[in-house]
Parts: sequence; structure tokens; C-alpha cells
Amino acid sequence: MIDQPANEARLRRIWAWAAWIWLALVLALAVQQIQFWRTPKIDSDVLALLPGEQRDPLLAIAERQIVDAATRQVVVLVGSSDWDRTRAAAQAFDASLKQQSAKLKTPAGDAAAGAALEFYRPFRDRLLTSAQRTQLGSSDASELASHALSDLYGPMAGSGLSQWRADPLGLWPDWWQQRLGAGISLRDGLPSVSKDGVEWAILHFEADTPAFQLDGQAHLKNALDNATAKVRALSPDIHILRAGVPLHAEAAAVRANWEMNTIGWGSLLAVIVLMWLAFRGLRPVLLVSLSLLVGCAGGIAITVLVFGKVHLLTMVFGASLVGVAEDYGIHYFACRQGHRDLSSHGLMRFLLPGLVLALTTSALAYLALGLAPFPGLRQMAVFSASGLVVAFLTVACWFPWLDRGPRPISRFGMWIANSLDIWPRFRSNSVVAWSAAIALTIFTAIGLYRLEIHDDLRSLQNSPADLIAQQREVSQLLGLPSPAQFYLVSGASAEEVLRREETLKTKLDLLVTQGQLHGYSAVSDWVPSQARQRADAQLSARVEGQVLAQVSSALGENLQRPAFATTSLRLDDWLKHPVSQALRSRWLGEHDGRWASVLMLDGVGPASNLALFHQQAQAVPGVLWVDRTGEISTLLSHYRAMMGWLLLAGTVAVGLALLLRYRRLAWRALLPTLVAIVLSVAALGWLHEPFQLFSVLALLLLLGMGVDYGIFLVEHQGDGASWLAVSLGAASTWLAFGLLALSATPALHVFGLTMLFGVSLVWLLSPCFRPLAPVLIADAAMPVSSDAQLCEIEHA
Amino acid sequence: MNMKIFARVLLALLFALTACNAIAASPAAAVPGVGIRARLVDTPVLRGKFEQEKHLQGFRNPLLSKGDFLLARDRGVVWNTRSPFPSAVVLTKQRLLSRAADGSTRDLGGRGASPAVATANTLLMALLGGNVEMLGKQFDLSETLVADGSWTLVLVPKPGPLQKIFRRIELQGDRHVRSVRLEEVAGDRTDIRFLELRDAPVKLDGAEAKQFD
Repeated sequence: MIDQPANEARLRRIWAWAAWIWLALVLALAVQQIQFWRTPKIDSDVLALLPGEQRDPLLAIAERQIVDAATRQVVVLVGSSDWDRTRAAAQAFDASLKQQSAKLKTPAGDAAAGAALEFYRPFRDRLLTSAQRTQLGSSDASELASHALSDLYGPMAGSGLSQWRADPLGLWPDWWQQRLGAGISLRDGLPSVSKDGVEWAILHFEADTPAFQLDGQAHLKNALDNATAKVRALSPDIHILRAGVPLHAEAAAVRANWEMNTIGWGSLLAVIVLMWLAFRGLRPVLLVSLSLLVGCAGGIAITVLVFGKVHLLTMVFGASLVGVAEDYGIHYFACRQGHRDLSSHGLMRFLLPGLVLALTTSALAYLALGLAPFPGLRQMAVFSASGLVVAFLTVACWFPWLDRGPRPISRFGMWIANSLDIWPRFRSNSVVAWSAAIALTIFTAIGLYRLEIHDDLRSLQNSPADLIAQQREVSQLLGLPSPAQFYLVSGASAEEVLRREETLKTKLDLLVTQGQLHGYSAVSDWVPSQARQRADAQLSARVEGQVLAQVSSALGENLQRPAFATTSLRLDDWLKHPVSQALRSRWLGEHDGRWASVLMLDGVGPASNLALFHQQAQAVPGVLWVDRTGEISTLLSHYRAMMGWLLLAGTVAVGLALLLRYRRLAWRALLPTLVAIVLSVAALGWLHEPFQLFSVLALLLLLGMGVDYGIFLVEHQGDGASWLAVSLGAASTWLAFGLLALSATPALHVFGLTMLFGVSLVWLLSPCFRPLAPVLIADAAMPVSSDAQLCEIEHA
Repeated sequence: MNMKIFARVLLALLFALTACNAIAASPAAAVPGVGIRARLVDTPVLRGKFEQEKHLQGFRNPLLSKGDFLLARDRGVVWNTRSPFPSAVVLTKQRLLSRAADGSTRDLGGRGASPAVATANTLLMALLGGNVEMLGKQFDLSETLVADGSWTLVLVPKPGPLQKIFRRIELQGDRHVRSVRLEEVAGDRTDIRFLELRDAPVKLDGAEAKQFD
């Protein structure tokens, strides 16, 4: 043993250095945090949580452009059984929005339509629908001429879009109709759709606000709600549906904001109340809160440093850290009560190895979450692990300096500490114990039998159910393109890409005819390949020339076909013109000598036969079928299995470590956690909660944290201070994950729920398996694993 | 974008006017057209002959056609051109199709154009109910009433999609609409005269009903 005063002086010197260095770092952290929160780089896009596409850089560009294009569009459908009421309601809705908010704007309307018409007019002869192409190619010119004649003498007043001579077969309006979308038509200048006796008007808006706002207000939703209320006040039975990425993003942001605050502040409050009850002092409460604050700030800072930004769901998950990172402070104060003779520096010195071990196991458990290649999980892992380390360093470096003054112990603290003695104990000869074991086995068997496995991308989505329902209904009515399933078409030149699109489209047309697909949209709908344009121009010139000649001879007229553009419509001109605005994002341009575009499918849903779409891609060179939903579900399933094996391996490793140290007693430390893991899974089955990757991840974390409780109780048999620390830590962890279980994001919900069951079970079960009488661990190599043990030895 | 349909809407609208009701659903005295509405006879079915004269840009001669028509308030309109080329156009709630002399049909509604056909029909039905207010939403109306019971109604499209097609529409009539003139922005003009109008019997006979099928 070193001389006590000299030792103490050396300790103080070391701690002084540590405290000052840490203060400098914390100040830097504070500066970083102030800058961060001024313009927070917070991501609320669910897709950002998903694994990035590595196999093809074009695919990454495609996804970014699709996401960018979708982030601003909001669609509102106003419907009633009668078009007049629908129109009036749509106009009232639009007016109400214009009046109350500048955040939702109406994109250019009438003038843009006129400009589009004039942009395409010179190329009218080169633009045919596939049905027209077949019809013109196969029909007899004299038959077409007789139709044209009867239409001329019929009640039709012309096509309205152009002179009769310029389009004698009325082809152009049908081409435009196809561009407008199947089932959609303009009525009184409003795009409209009619289904099941409801006449819908379609209103398009552009959201002019960032999706994430720190105020937690649903600006877009409120504006739309007000407009809806206005319209409903006029006629109560109007149907109103809304859809669009900004609405989901906003709902997610508002919800996450609320959850983050509930979990964070709720856990903090719990920690404060527990600390106050146990230690009856302002100092412990303030110091532990300080360690949590610095810990969370550190977590954010390091996550931003590593990833460049923080996802909203990471923040929600990270808020539960408050209930975990308080452990170090609590251990310090719990241990202090039993060791009044030690200076605060001395106490910390002796606590340190145990705390470091506890930190290491917890941080490793958290980091294991990041093994799956999901950026979201990696962020959560980095956030939690680094937050723990920072909270720990705050405790280690500062507590000895800041913790001065009396060390009272409360009656509540004593009561908890003493409760260990009267806690029920599992005895192999007890009827009650075996009855309980049998009951739990039955509970487990039924629970596991009922367990359902789901590896669904939707587990990451937290949109309100009614918004999802509305989105689905709007998608069905309008055939909105699916952002998660599309074709990537690439080629050596722009022309080749367009030609490949056209080849693919003839195959898709068949699927549309068979009812397997609602429709599709592609750049080549608007700018056909040069080859296609030339062929169509020749076809229409030939057939229309014949029709005009025959009609002329029948009527004694000399009808001349007016001249059209002599060159084809060029892709570059289209891209530069405002007419391409809505579809520009589908054209990816040239990257490393490859040109590419995205062809999107309308009305693809869970019921679609995706294998069929995959087959179409294989038949056309340069076409790649991308199914993000399927890919991610496969990944979720793959990593659920992989993490399951990791859990098993972890259990074996922990078991071996415990065996080395505790020999015959090892099972007492491990069994509570194993039972808790099995029971938690069974409980999920009972509650019809799906078993998925996030449940397994929670179990992994539970293994890392739960075994600690068993270790403490085996290590310090009958030590009330240790039990107090375990109990306080478990209570706040339990509450933090319980609050996380309230999350609207299914993944976080199931994570929180699994932890909620697991932590409470381990906490309840661990003392049941404590050894009967104190056993000296004489054969242990070094008593290193626990803080409290060190306190004890020093004390002795 | 399907502007072809607006021409058809107008067709439906004009026929509807021929059967406009004398009894106003709501007494809106300030609305132009009320005087005409009071003079028109309400009838569920109207039959008659027509003579149509079209002046199209690029054509030296007007296109003259003759035929008959049938209007049923709860079914739609059948427009039978008898000369020079026999053909029929049928507009019902669901569809708009052309029937050739040999009985073959062509769908003029186009792919998914049913809402537009429905628009035509809603207009038609609203007009059968004597709803001049609705006409007034799309057009500026000015009526001239003559003491002998005849009248003239001029419709000028309000700013909007119809304005891109029609410059002006003029109707003349007494108890029924007797003539229509459509003037298009593109310079085309159509004149239609109605003859031998009959509103009895008020029910379609079997042959008439069959034309809507």
C-alpha cells in the first residue's frame, strides 16, 4: 500500500488535470452545440435511414432525384357526388389556402398549359400514341376517310386544339389525354377524375417549407385542416383526401419532436425524482443531470461529426439514453453512502475499473446495433455509445471535484437497499418456485407459438394511419407513381435510352391491358426517340395525306395538310423548356459515359405481381428493375437472422466469461437475463407485436445490460448499496424504454417494448437467483469486475 | 386537355336548352336568361329534324347536313345524320359514341374520358331542370325578348377553358330553341336549324329507346 496522504495528493493532481482538460473539451462541445442548433442538420426522411445503394452509382442518383422531386408535392382531392358542388368546394379550398398560408403554393396553371400546347404544336405529326400507331398502320385509308367525312358532317365542332386540316383524324387530343393520365380529364379547367359515383377535383400544391421545423408545429396540416373546415362548413358531405411526401415528413417531424421531448424530459424527471428520493440532496440531482446533458450533447456532436447530420429517429432513440447514462452517477452516489471514510477522489479511483467495465459492455452492446448496414441504426449506435462515453467521462473527471459536502442517506434509499434481504429466492425444493416456473413455461410456449415474424420496411415509418389511408386512396384514384419500385434504363447515348424505354413500354402496355399495371410514366412519353419520331411522322404524313386527298375528292375541295417542323423534337430543348418541369427529375443525364433515365410505374402496390415486372426488365438490355421495398425487407430479414446468431454467440461468450469467474455460480448471473429474453419474446407474441430486426437488437442490448444486474448481485452478495444502485439504474432505464415504447415508429416502439419487458424482468429475477450464503471467490484471479466490490475491499 | 369534349358539352347544352323548363327551381330574377326560361316549354322528350351548316377554315364550301335527333331527359341525346353520309352520335351518361351506317361503333369519349362525358351529362340534366344559373357561371348571357314570344340569347364564354374554343354562341327560339350559331376562336362556324319539333308522346317508344343502347 502506498502512503495514504501522498497517494491522495497524487490523485488530486491527476484529477485536476483531467477536470481541466475535460472542461476545455466540454466548452468546445458547447460551442459546437450552439452552432448546430442554430441551423440543425436534422434529417426526417425515412429513406435516409435505409441502406444506400452501392452496386450502381446511377441508382444512387436516381434515388436522390426521385426523392428530391417528391419532397415538395402535395395533392388534394376534393370530391362529391355532383361535379358542381365538387368544383365549388375545390375553389373554396384553394381560396382558403391562398388566404391563410404562403407555405402551400399553386404551381403555374392555365398559362403553362397554353405554353405546352404551343411547344408541342410543330411536332404534332411526330407524336402518336401506341394505339394510334397500330390503328394508322393497320387501317385502310378509305375507311379512315369515311370516318373523317361522317365526323365532318356530324355535330362535332372540330377538335378545338387545331384546325381540321392539321389533324383530320383528331389524333392530337387523344395524345394529350394520354399525357394527362388514364382516367383524368379537364373539367372547367380543373383536372378531375371520377370513380364509384364520386366526382373528384385534383388540386396540386407545392410545399414551400422545410419538412423539419423545431417548433413542432404542423404548419401544412393546420393550413389544410383549416381549408377543409371551411369547405365542410359550406357543404358537410364533401370528401377531401390529401397526399404527398411533405405531409408525411411534417407528421413525422411533429411526432418525433414530441416523442423526443417526452422520452428525454420524462426520463430526466424520473432520474431526478429517484435521485432525490434516494439521496435527499440537490447536489446529486444536479451533478447527474449535468452528466446526462453533456452526454446527450456529446452524442449529437459525435454523430454529426461522423455522419454529417442527425436523423430525427436517432434523436428519439437517443433520448432514451438519459435513462441509461445516469448509471455512472448513480453508482458513484450509491457507493459513496457506504464509504464515508473515502475522499471523493479515492472513491472514484476505486470505482473506476468497475465503471469502465460497465461502460465497455454497454457501449459494445450499443455498437453491435450498428453492425447491420442501416445508416439509421449506425447513427443510433454511434449516438448512444458516444453519449455513454461522454456521460461517463463527465462523471469520472468532474464528480470528485464537484461532489463536496455532506453525504446524507435517505430512508427510501435504505429501504431499497434493505429490500434485498427479504426478496423471494428461487429454491430447488420450493413448490411455489416450481409452480411459477411451470406457469412461465406455459406462458412462454403459447407466446412463442403466437409470435409473428415481420420484416417490413413499414416498421420504420411512423405516419399516422389516416394519412397513409388517404395516400393509398389518392394513389388508387390517380395512379401515383411508386417511389420505391421503378425501372432504371441506361444506354450509351440519350437516344439509346429513349429507344430502350420504348421497347420496355411496349411490354408494359401488355401488362396494362391485362390489368396488372395501372400505367407508367417516362421521359419518352414526352420526347420519343428520334427514330420513333421519324417513323411516326412518316406514318401520319402518309395516312393523313391519303385521308385529305379522299375527303377533298369527295367534297370537291383542295385540302392541304399544313407544314410541320422538319426536324424532330430534341431532348435538350424539352429539358430547357418549362414544359418538362414535372418530369425533369426522371432524366438522369450522362454519368461516366452512360446515359440513364427512370421509368416509373403507377399504381404498384402490395397486391402487384412484382416478379412480372422483374421479368420485363430482363427481356430488354440496359433495363434494371429496382424494388427498394423488397430489397429492404430482405435485408431486414437477413440481419434479423444474423443478429439472432450474434445474440446466441454473445450469450455463449458472456456465459464463458461468467464461468471463468464464478464457476458453479455462473448460472445465477446469466439465467435471469436468459429467462428475461425468452419471456420478453413470448410477451411480444402474446401482444401480437411483430418479431423483427429491432426486437433482436433490443435483446442484444438487454444481454449487455441485464447480465450486469446478475453480476452485481453475485459479486456482492447481500450488499445493499449495490442493490440500490442496480434498482435505481433499472428503474430509470425501464422508464426511458417504456417511454420509447410509446413511439409511433413501429421499430422504436418494438425496441422500447422489448427493453421494457426485459429490463423489468431481469431486475425482478436477478435477486431471486442470488446465492444462498456469501461465497468467497477465492479462486478468482483478480476482483476487477465491479465497482462495489472494490469499495468493499478497500473498506475492509 | 381534351378540348374536343367541350364541343360535345356544348352540343348537349344546346339540346338541353330546347327543353328548358318554364318553372324556375329558384326564383333568381337578377339572372339573365330568366325571361327565356319562362318562355321555354318543359318536356322530358323532344324529337325533331335539323339542318346543319358548317364553315371550316381551309374549306371553300360549307358542309351541309340534314337529319333528325332525339332527346330524352333521363337518357341522353341521339343525333342522326341522314345526308350526305348516314351516321349517328349517341351521348349518354356513360359514353359518347359514333355509330356508322353499317352498325359499327367508335368510342369518341377516348380512353378514360368518362368524367368529361359526365360533365356533358351533368350540364344537360341541370339545364333540363331549368338551371340558367349554371350557364351563367360559364358564360356571360344577354337575352333579347320579342313581344311575339320569340327570343335571342347570346353566350360569351367567361375567362377559362371554354374561352379558348368559343368566341360566341347565339341561340334563337320561342317555346323551343329554333336555331344555334357556334363561332369558334379558330374561325370555324356552325349553324344549326331545328324543324318539326315534337314533344309528344312524353315517353320513348321501343324503337326510340333502342337507339340509346
